[in-house]
Amino acid sequence: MLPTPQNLIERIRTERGLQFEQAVSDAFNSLGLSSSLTTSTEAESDVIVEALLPESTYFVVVECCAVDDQNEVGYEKLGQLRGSFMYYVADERRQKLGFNNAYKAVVGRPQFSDNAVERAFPDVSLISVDILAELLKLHSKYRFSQEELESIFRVSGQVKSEHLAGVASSYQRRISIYALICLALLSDPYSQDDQRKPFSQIEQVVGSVGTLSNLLQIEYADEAAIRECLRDLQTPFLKLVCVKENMIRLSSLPLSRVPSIAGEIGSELLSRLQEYKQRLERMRNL
Amino acid sequence: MSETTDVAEIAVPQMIGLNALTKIIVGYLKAGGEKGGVRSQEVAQLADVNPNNVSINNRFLISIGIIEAEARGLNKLTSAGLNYAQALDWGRLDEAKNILAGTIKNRPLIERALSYVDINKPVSKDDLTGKIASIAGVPNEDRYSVGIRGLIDMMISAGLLTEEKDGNLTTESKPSPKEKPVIPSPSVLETKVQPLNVPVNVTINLGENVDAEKIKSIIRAIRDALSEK
Repeated sequence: MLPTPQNLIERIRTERGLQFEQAVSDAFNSLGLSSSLTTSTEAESDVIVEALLPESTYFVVVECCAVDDQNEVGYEKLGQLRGSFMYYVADERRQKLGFNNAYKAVVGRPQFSDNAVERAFPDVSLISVDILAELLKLHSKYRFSQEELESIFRVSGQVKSEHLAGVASSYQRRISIYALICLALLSDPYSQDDQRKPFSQIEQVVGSVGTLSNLLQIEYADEAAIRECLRDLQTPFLKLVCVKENMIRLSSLPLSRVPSIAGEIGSELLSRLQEYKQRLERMRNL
Repeated sequence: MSETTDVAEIAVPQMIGLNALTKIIVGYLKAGGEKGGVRSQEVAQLADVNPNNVSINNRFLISIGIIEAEARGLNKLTSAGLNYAQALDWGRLDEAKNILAGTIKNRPLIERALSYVDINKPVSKDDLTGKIASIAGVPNEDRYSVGIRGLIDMMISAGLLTEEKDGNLTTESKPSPKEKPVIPSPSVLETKVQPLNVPVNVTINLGENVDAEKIKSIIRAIRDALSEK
């Protein structure tokens, strides 16, 4: 059975030594990458993470280091990593696989020293356990692709929450649009009974979504993005909207059931919808 | 008999494969070989390979333009060698492959090996190993064949050769222009020219004094005009 994100977060926050390395490797596996502990004969780095599925393949050589809470992960790890990196690049199997890129990363706990941060430039990304935990949580919601995860390893220096937010932003924007579409398809956006509008012209709904995004001061949702999101909502996996020719309406699927079908994204969609309803209500009262 | 023509520029790796060759090239970078000449011993230490393996392969690395001799026993990275080693060390593997391809593809040994594969493709690795040994004028023995296989792997890694699923080699596959479907051109379809049968009415007003010969010539001229394509 696959470890849950909570379980992995607990392990990367508490384990030491080889168990810490194993926990880090398991965390990368749960992100959908192929990760394994390196064999002692290969070289000295701890974990190798491979992304073989994207069009542009890559691998990451990872050093793991967990020190006491009052200490910091020092720059020495960078030297070890840079020293061993070439063993993995030169490896014949990897050369034959023709990876397009290779990265160096240090996963550390509790934090990195200023010296380590300074010296990580230009080729090492420093991932603190807190950031890895944040990434695991975001991944359990958005299911990042291997291509999207590559942007984390491209960071030289300390990986920060802003970098993760950059990866998650396109999903969050989409969820906003999903919520606006639902809002536009409800007969009374202020009410809590989720009464649906009858079939409406798609053009009209697209226009309403644009108006609502303007009204609620949400980043402008252009027509192409709205139409793309409309397509997402009618997938056989969700079927939140029904489309007949050029007409559209919310399906009979109760909105409360969306999280059970769409997981955490579904929950976020519902809470976003609720938030927008409340904001509209406040505006009306003003 | 060997086919060597330009021995000074033709050399093959010895005793080591692509793995160690790559480590040696990056070893030159780590040893400061971009600034000035460094000794094989220093490179060997940083690349974690046997010093003898560095010194016996310097000639090959010079022949493909990765390093150049600075003084006796001292070699430094060429500018292409520096770019290649740096790209490898930073993990920019695509960039490294492009630099390597650009640096080695016009070297005499590589050029001849590639044209051999191009003419005889697909070629087995054993076949190409023998051919390269013959071009370089070295016996096809373990000492050289290990290195030559490393060279072949280097050519594959640089994208100059493609290894097929059965292990055979072909030259870099360039996307061939898509073959156009054979559609008969309109002119081909219209080669059968049908005789044109269009009724033409010609009215000739004859007066009393009209010369019969003149009428005949008019009719002849009309016929001729109608029979022209």
